[in-house]
Amino acid sequence: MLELRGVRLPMGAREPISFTLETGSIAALIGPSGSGKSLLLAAVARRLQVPGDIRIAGRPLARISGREYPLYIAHSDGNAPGGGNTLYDYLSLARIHHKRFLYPLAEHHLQALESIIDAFDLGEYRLTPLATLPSDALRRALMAYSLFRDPELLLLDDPAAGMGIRSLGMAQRALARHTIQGDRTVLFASSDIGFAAQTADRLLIMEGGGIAEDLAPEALDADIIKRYFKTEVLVSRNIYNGRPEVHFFPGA
Amino acid sequence: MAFAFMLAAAAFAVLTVLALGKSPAAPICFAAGAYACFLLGRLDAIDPRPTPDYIHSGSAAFLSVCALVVGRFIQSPLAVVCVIPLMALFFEFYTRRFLAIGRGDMAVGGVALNAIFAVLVLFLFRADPRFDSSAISTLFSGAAGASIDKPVIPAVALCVCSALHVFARRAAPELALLSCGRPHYEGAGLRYAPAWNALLCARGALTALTMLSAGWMGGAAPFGPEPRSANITPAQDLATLAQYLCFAELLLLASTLAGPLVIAPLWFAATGALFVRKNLRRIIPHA
Repeated sequence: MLELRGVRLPMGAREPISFTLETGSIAALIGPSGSGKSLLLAAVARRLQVPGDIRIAGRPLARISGREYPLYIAHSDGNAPGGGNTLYDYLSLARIHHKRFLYPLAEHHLQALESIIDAFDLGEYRLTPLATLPSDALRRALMAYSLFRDPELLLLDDPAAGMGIRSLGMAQRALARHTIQGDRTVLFASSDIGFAAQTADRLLIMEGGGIAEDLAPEALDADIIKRYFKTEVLVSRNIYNGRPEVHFFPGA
Repeated sequence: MAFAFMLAAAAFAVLTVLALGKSPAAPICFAAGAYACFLLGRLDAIDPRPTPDYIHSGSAAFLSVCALVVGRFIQSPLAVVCVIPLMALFFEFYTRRFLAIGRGDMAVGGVALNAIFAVLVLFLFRADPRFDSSAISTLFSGAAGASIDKPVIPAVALCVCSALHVFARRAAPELALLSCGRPHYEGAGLRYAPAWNALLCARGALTALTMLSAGWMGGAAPFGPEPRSANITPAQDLATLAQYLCFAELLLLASTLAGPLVIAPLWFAATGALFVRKNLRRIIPHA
């Protein structure tokens, strides 16, 4: 469970941010560019010091030691890592906190690594350096890395950016699988309202460094999008799950 | 392949000692220098900001200038041996931590430092009649060229390199994660600053060992392949090391035949051409 009480981002919002995210849920932060989505993720990931109380599984964020941190939190800011590691090497580094220093990774972690490579259909890129991966495969690799860390709270910054339609489907399924046991939580920021509405159980709309709306995806409509995104859109419903799908007016 | 390179290296070493009358310590010295340079190449492969090798980054020129200045004023070989590791550490921390410069800037700085060294050497040759040209030969070929009989430096270098090599192999995942950058490293619950400082210390120690053992000619780095992987197999490791040793012994043989003052500038030009060629290949990374 993630709890935020009186968190203030350095953007001068009138109201501090307070919300609770139940374990097992997937929440999406949406909002116009510069509304504070990435800053909020960075604050929860302890990469940005902000006033307020942040607790993960009841423990204050500041009390989580460096050694415990990877068990609680994985944060992907969407940037490709440096170095010249191949995809397989890069993914195998995700569980480094599960191994003893100077000892190899245990066999069951390597088996889990194969599963995640299959889940994201990355087998053909196994020996490809990250720097030369196609952008779509790189986005999948970054998400696979974060999921393979298997933390209690997964924080993803715009995971859908640069993903093709097949990868979006894989990402959606992978996030659902990650939380299906009810012991993992996902909070992601997205500039793709459609992906957020189809993937998350809960939408948090951000504006000016604060939470402007906290709603179920089904409640998202054209008026809300116009209010916060200043854009006229048509919102239809997915015939399978009833969730909103956002369409632009041609030529508008 | 590794075996063939090893055999070739041994043949060059035997030829240097038996046919050309070099001290047996010289090939060991060169091998130690090449080993240190090989490990330096490995550290470059896991460096988040890979930079030119120790010759083209200006590190060798900087250490040579320091050695010349210290040798001039203190006139003690021991002082030079002590100053080189300290200055190598200073160079690593100043360029990679304080200035945090990248590949391009370091290459430009390297050209400037190499030019300063060349001008200094020319000045000493022309302006100082007491200047001993063997000092330059020693800088170019390290202890291997200084006709030492007690192989203390190569013994120390080989021990340090072996220890670092074993450590680097066992800690390959941690080192590979370091190359991913600070957020990744700290995200895994590891402390970035101490690891980065240790990496710089290791780089400084290896640069100093290369310079002391084999001088400028220890740098076979531009020829060596750069396997950037957390899972390099022992066979790959051995093959690369064997190539380094083979090149190093070949260079020692050539410098014994033609003299370090001839071979070192040729070596510098050859590695420079390879360095430029390698870096002109355009790879467009994502970040």
